[in-house]
Amino acid sequence: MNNSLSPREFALLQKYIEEHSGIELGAEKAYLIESRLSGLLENYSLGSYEELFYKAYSRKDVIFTRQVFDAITTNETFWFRDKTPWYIMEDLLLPQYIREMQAGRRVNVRIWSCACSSGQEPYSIAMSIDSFLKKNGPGDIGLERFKIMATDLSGSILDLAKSGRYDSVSMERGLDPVMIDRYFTREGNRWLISERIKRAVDFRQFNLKTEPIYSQYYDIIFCRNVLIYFSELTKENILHKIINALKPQGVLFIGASEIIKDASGSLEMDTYQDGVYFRLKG
Amino acid sequence: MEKLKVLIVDDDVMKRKEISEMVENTGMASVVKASGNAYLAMEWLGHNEVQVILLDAVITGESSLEILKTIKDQHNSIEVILISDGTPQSAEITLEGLKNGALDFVKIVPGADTRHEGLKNQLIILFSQITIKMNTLKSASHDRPESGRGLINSAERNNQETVEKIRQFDPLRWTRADLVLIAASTGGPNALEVVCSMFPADFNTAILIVQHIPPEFTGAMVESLGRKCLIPITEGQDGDVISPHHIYIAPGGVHMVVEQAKYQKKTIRLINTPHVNGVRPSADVLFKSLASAYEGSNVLAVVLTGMGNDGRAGIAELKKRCNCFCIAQSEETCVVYGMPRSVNEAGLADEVIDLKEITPRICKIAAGRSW
Repeated sequence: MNNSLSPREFALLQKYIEEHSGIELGAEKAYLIESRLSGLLENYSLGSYEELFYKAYSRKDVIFTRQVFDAITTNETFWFRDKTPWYIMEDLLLPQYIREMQAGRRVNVRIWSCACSSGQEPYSIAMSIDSFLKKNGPGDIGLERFKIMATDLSGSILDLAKSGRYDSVSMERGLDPVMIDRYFTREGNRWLISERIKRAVDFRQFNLKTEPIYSQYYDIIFCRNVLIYFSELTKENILHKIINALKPQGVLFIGASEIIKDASGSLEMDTYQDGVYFRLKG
Repeated sequence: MEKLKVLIVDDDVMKRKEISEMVENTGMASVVKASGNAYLAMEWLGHNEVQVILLDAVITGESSLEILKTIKDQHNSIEVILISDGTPQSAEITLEGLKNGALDFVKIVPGADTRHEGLKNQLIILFSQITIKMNTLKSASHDRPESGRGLINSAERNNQETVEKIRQFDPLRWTRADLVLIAASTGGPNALEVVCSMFPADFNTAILIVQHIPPEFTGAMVESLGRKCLIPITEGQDGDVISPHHIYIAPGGVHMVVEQAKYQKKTIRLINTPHVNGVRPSADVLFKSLASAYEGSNVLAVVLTGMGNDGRAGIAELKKRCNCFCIAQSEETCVVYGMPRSVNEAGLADEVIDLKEITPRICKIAAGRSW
């Protein structure tokens, strides 16, 4: 049994991990991949890391694939993560969009959650809009006027997102009882999100790094805690693509502790209370 | 107090003489033998008793690491202090030595002034630490709990007074950590390797680390940690904007502080102010600057193995101005239970845990999944 990781095997696993989680690991991390995955190699009596790669790649054994990613990442996801985007949306953006729709100057609002993982972010967006409309909105504008697109690299995580089913541990992260009561029903030890909210989100598999997107299409883009895992060059490319996808005056949210370098100078940083957001000039 | 018996192993006759003088100058130890040949020195050890060995990291014709392993195998109770000349080669061996049981190292450049105060203080601190350790071991093995009682009681009394003054950390305000801090000294490079190697690749809170270390050694340490850590790790540079998913290590020889910049950005500054607590970089200096730059934020501070009490005053300040949770490394897993003890006895530690438990706890607490 060959237990050491060859350069070829590292290249395979590196590419695989990047394609499925977006995390770029440099060559100097080879040792670590080896130490993180050696336990799995042993538990499943695999002869080499190449075998491990093919077993994960084939996706026949979902639990195994999951374990490979768990060894490398934690996949942290939260409902209503960071407070600031939500009140910026409710105080500034939604009232403006609704006024425009009522005046007949706007048909709909397009929102993109560009690395949605297991769905918490796009569903939070839908719940936030729905709650806002119920509280403040005129009766004639409904959730269907808001088109929420949610994408992720990983097909298996998208399946989870689409199912709208969550275990009690993930329910604890950031959801208050009012929201749970309003939008979820209990199914044994799992929680199912309401059909209305599920229908409001369109999930698609998408590679942010390699695939093209519509230009000047979205009013709001959520790209939070995504760019931090990429190399500087990739970061720049993706940001360029995102800027291109925003409508003039469109808004970009990044993670609360993130920093972006906008070389093109087309974004304007704005602050509202203690929250920061970016607006495309023009 | 009985003086510590010291053996010096170094192939340079001038250095042997200089080091002997430095050791004698501390007034706490005496040199019983100085040998230029490691093999003969090991023979001599077979029938003589010492408490401390000062071992040249780059001794000619021998592998100092092999010698270190032999000493640790055969004479486990002897403390080994490595002598490094600060060259990159010696820095590498020295760090490897710390992983293999050396207590600490001193940097001695050939021809240095033997009355150099910094070196003398460093040796005094090391020798007192060894004396304290020997005495604690002795009293523990003699099973006489009274021996340390008076001290412990007074520490406990102090405790209660301080606890009242400290703002307790508030779990309700803790959604997730805005920043993770780690302070370490003696035994630190090794402990940091354990801690850093366990972070998941998508851990996305910024981590700032202060390890007491001379300037020439930070580069080698950062490189070695980088190979074992899935998160990018660099020496903090003046002007760096702190970003998540990144570990910043304070460079040796300067203090690292953090400033509030425009648009809620925080930037790293490196400053040349005097030593604090006898060290530079000092965790107290960094932590105090953070208490203002991160006022009101959720800060997770971790104190690892090391002598002295650097970090304690800084954590007290963080507790006052931020929502600060503090983890101290357990005595059993520390090489030197000094810094963790000082925060613990001041009532500042919210949790005391073993080295291997630290990263899993950091991940949970940073994600707000703990209470």
